[in-house]
Amino acid sequence: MRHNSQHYVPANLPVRVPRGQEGYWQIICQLADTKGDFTINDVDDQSNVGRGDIQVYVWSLSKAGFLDIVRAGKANRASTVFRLVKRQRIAPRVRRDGSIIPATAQENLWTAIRTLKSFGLRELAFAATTEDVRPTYEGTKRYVMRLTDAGYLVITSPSGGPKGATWRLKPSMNTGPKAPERRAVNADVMWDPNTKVFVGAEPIATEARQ
Amino acid sequence: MIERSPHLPGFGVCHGPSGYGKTYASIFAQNRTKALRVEVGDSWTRRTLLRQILKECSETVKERWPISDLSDMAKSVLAEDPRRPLIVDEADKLVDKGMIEIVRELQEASGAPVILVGEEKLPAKLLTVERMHNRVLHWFPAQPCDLEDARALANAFAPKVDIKDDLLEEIRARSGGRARRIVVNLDQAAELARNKSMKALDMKLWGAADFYTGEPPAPRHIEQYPRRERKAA
Repeated sequence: MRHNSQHYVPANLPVRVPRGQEGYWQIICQLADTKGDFTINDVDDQSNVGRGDIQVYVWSLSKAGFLDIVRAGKANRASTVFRLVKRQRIAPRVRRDGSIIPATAQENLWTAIRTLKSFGLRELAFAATTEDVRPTYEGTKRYVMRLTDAGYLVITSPSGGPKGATWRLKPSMNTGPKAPERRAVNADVMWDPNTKVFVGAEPIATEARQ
Repeated sequence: MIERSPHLPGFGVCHGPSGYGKTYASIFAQNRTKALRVEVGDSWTRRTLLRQILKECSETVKERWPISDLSDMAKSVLAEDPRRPLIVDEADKLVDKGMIEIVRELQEASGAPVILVGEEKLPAKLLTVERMHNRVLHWFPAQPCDLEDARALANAFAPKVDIKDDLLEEIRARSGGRARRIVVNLDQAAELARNKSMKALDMKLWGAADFYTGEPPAPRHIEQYPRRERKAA
């Protein structure tokens, strides 16, 4: 009875439900502001993913020292009450055993690109190296090529000489601190988390095959 | 700086001549500590400074917000992460423009550590601002490269050539310990080794080839072209 439902105009309201580790961290910070101490249930109420994911993240956070256990659950672990003790803006990336996951090579490279502005591959890999993250020459090259294809970088001197090619970051594409990353959606383009757009070639509409 | 007690001053100053690797050091610090970094431009105003800091925090700001609002927002954003440092490169420009007070205000209100990076004269410039210089906890001057640093650079920039210690030391000395010049000389060494298809290079093989010292060319005596001699009348 289709005509009966015509009073109900389907409204498409995009509501952003916080998901993923960044989302859970956001919820935890908000809970700490409004409610103080919280349980895993409180976090679960504000997201729409399965509990398991949240549980794992909250327990790893407490092992990493971001959360204190105020009251341990008696009957089950779900009634454990947590308190946020170490606050930061970026969601901490932690493993199950509570160790911190270091930054990815791409993030280091993006930081170095933004600071150096003009660079060769070896120079870039050298600048982006820290104790725990060491981008390889090949990996650096791959990321630089991707950024070039997507229009972030221009080649200032082509390869051929002993020094190899040099690149420059287009000032207009210095979009922000988060590194653009490859996302396989339906098309292969770059995702810029600062401006929240896909950058580069026109996405070719293809069926996403499972 | 990050682990300092809250009552201590929150400024660090890193100063040194160009080419000593301050920028590389700041990239390293940024990658290690997730620090925010802004590089002050010549045309910057107070507004651009605050907007850039907020942009680094991934905050979007409206075009027409008053400066005081921007400043309040920056303070609250920085205060949310009191362990995350803010690196201000080319900070001497801030002193020149009289904008350093904004940074001081941000630091005091938020408690976040602030690292000022600038040229060799930066400490002297900061001394002229009375309220600034006793808020500095650490002064760390950039150091010239020693042989060990030069070795690390050689491994990174000329990995295929084995550069012997005598040549490396000469390169280091002639470059004045400046990392940027050492790298240029290492590039030359790599090229030389390629052309001669050598695996190792020392002082003897380098021979009389020039070093890159960054010295500008000496003034030419433009009057020294051969003149036609005047015939005696």
